[in-house]
Amino acid sequence: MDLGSLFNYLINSPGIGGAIAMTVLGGAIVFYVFLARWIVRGTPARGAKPKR
Amino acid sequence: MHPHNPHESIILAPLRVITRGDKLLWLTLFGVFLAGLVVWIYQFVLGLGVTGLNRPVYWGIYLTNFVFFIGLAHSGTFISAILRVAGAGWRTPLTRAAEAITLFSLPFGVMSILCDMGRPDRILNLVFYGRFQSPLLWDVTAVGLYLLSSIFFFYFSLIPDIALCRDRLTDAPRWRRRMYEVLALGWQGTPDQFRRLDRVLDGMAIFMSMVVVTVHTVVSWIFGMTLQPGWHTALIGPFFLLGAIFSGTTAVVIVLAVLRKVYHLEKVLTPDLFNSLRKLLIVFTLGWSYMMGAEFLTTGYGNMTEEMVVLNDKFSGQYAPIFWTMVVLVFVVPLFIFLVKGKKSLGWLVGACVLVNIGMWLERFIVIVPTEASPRLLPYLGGGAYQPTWVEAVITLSLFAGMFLLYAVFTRFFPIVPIWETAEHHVGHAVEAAAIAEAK
Repeated sequence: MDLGSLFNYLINSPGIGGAIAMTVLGGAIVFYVFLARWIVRGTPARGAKPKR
Repeated sequence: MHPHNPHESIILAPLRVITRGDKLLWLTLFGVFLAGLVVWIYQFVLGLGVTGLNRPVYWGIYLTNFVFFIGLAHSGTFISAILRVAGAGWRTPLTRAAEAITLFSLPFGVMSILCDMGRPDRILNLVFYGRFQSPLLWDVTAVGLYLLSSIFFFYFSLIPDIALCRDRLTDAPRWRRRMYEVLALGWQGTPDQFRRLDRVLDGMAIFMSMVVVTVHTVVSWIFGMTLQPGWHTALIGPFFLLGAIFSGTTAVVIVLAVLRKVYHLEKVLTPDLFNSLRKLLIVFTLGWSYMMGAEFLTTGYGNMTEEMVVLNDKFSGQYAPIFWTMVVLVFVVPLFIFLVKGKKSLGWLVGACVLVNIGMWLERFIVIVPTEASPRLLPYLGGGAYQPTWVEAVITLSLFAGMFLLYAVFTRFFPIVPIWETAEHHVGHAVEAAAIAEAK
């Protein structure tokens, strides 16, 4: 499958579009949750045990 | 520790009491929202035949509401984000009130789409069978990402103030203290935490400004990607965007004026703040009018048959009364007030902003319905008509009631003016303020 066909497949196939949309939205949620955690706790020192 | 803010007690005062008036207002708004829900079930059971929607006008008031709510939603975060990027210090008291508009209007924009669907249960088909070829799926992705980003942008800047509520409102009911404790995520207000928060908000402000532009452009493409007269133009994206920012900024002015009056925030929401917004509004009024003029000039100069049917319908046909009312409400009267009366009188400024919002709702109607009534299909050319029914009216009212309800409740539980950011404005910088407090 060449690149053009792959692009065509991703754009036109039923379901793939929904999967792309959900991946974007799901990825954003995970990213923001980790960002919130970083704001409050910062980056743990190398080798430090995670806080309970 | 929390940065010192001389107005802290004034800003926290509305959180200390819930009056009978509040409860009555909440109950009334909830009642209207519930009435809308009942009518929506009625529409669901009997079908869209109970509305004025029919071939060829499939998108009437519901889509007008959708674009209007999305427009309101865009300006809130946009004003906050772009002014943060520009480093405009005067923005700090209004950011949260503006972002809250985004947060509480977006869900009702989404609900408007559900109301327009005869089979709302099929919305999940977008996920299971959606093709990315469709602008509708672009819209779902873009609006969804915007909603998520707005929620977190809003929440991040709220964390220090939630922690302040946790520490100051010790006489609040237990469930409420617990809520503050959970939402504060253990925030201590250390200089490091403030530094990281500032970095994230600065980065997100740039991202959000970009997302606002792209999202409202994508919303306009639902119309622009079809080959319909009045819609198929590259200008529709910037035109929608400017309209959204314009109507949203006027909504921010209205909300700020109401909060100022009801919660006695005169010392925080100063006349200077409103004057800065007034100057922005003059720019937006002129910019939006220019875009509209450019759009009509291009169409009229081209003189294509299908385009002219729609254009004439707006200028002198069945939609002329709505069109010219819109021009008066959005351009003529507000511009005069912004330039002449608005500087001295907050009442005039707010009055003009109310007119703009009514006019912008009509503007969305004028963009959507005339084109649908005269689409690029010969049998219907000039033949379509649309008369909304009471069902659409009640559901529309209920959506607005729902938005007002969420906003009203929020302002009694969280500080609507950012305490830490206005402290930053007063004492120099939140990080320094926190460092000073720690040294003490």
